[in-house]
Amino acid sequence: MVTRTQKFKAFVSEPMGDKDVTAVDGINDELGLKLATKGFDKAYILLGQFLLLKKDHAVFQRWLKGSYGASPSQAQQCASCLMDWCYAFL
Amino acid sequence: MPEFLADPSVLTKEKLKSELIANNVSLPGGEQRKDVYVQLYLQHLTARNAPAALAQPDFSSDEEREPTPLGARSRGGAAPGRKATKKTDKPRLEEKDDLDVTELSNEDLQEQLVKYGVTPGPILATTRKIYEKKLQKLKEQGPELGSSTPLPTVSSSAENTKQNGNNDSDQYSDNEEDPKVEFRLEKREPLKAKTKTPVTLKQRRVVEHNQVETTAQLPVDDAVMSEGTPIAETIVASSNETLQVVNRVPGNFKHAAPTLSISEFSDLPRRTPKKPLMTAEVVEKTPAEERRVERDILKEMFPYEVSTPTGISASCRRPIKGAAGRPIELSDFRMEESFSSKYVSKYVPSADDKPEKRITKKRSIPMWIKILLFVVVSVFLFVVYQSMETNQGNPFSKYLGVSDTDIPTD
Repeated sequence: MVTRTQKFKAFVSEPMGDKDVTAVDGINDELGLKLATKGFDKAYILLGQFLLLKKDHAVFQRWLKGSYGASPSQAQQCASCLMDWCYAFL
Repeated sequence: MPEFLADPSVLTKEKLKSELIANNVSLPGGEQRKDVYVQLYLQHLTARNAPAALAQPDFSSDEEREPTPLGARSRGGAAPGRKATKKTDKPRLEEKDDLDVTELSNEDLQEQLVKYGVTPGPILATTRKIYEKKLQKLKEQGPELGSSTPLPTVSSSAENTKQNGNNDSDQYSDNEEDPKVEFRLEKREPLKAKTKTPVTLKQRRVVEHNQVETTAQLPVDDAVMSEGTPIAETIVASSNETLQVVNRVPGNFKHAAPTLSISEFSDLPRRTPKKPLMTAEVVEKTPAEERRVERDILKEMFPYEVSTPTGISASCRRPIKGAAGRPIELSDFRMEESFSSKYVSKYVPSADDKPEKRITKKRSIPMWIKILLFVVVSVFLFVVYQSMETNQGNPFSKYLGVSDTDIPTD
């Protein structure tokens, strides 16, 4: 079982509201900047993409890695973070 | 071509010309403006598609476009706008037409949109088409608005990024500063039906933004629009046109305002907290007369309404005196005070003063009596209970025949 980071817990514990995309677990500043320049400057936009991909972990990770150069661990963290958020709030 | 587009303005001028030629439509000599070709296209080709839509190509195309999804409305709005206001910019149009939005890459598309002060979300396969249409519309409107087109991209982008993030804070912090601005947008907004898709929101943002460009620049309101209630694109576009053409004429608004008043009023307070900077500077010159007009109308229409953020002041329905067998008593007047001011002020304010005064006096007396009675009754019951014999057995034993016990008769 993966131990959840503080960032993960913080994100999943409440509605994301207008949080920046860097608030999502797995998204560091660099990746966040890349996402923001492409228009994903808010967490909810990234969530939108996640939902568009039908909450498919693998596809989402592939997308994140392919389009934005995220590392596999980053993508995995991000996907699971969003997934958990969806469980909690969606 | 088996089918002809209902929305020829998506095509470039060259394409329109080629389409017309391909369908044996005679072109006017020399280089014409795009909308000339558009109209020809509409007249000849779209007519073949839908014979009914002939008379006024622009208006009919509006009708046709209505059902079509997404940005089609923008076309309908754009066409009359273009017609009305495009007097110049022939060369400019030609230049822009050369840039086919569909050929732009995602990044370029984004750049172009940013140039117009719009912060698009991610341009993906799903969103691309929407942004293309928006850009196209912007381009068509951009030359018209002309002068202030060179948007200070830095500031606008900064503000735009703020749009996405801090709309709420901007809205709430700035909304009080520019009440005048509220009216301008409120006018237009209530016109719009509330059932809009997010796509049209973006269109609207563009439209709004373009209007803003005319005077000062406050793209923030775009996000507000998008964040706020959805808005009807057609109405926006048409009002956009009106504003552009007859920017200072209060007559338009006077005409529009009364029809809006009811819906507008309900929207007005709702919009109030959401209005950010709105189009502060923009509206300075324009809204003066319009504001006054609107305010007057609103005051006339709803002099007693409470202005609340939601436009709704919920209050208990006042029981109709004498209805449903209710006796008409002075106690009914008592209820008024507990209601919101809305009712109090609404129903014959002067007449209620006297009964209220009497009520206040009378009210104090019965209240005490009530409490006193309550205490007395409760004490009495307590005493009675104390004096009762303790009942060991089952009170229903009489019926069950289990055992005889004393049953208190008092």
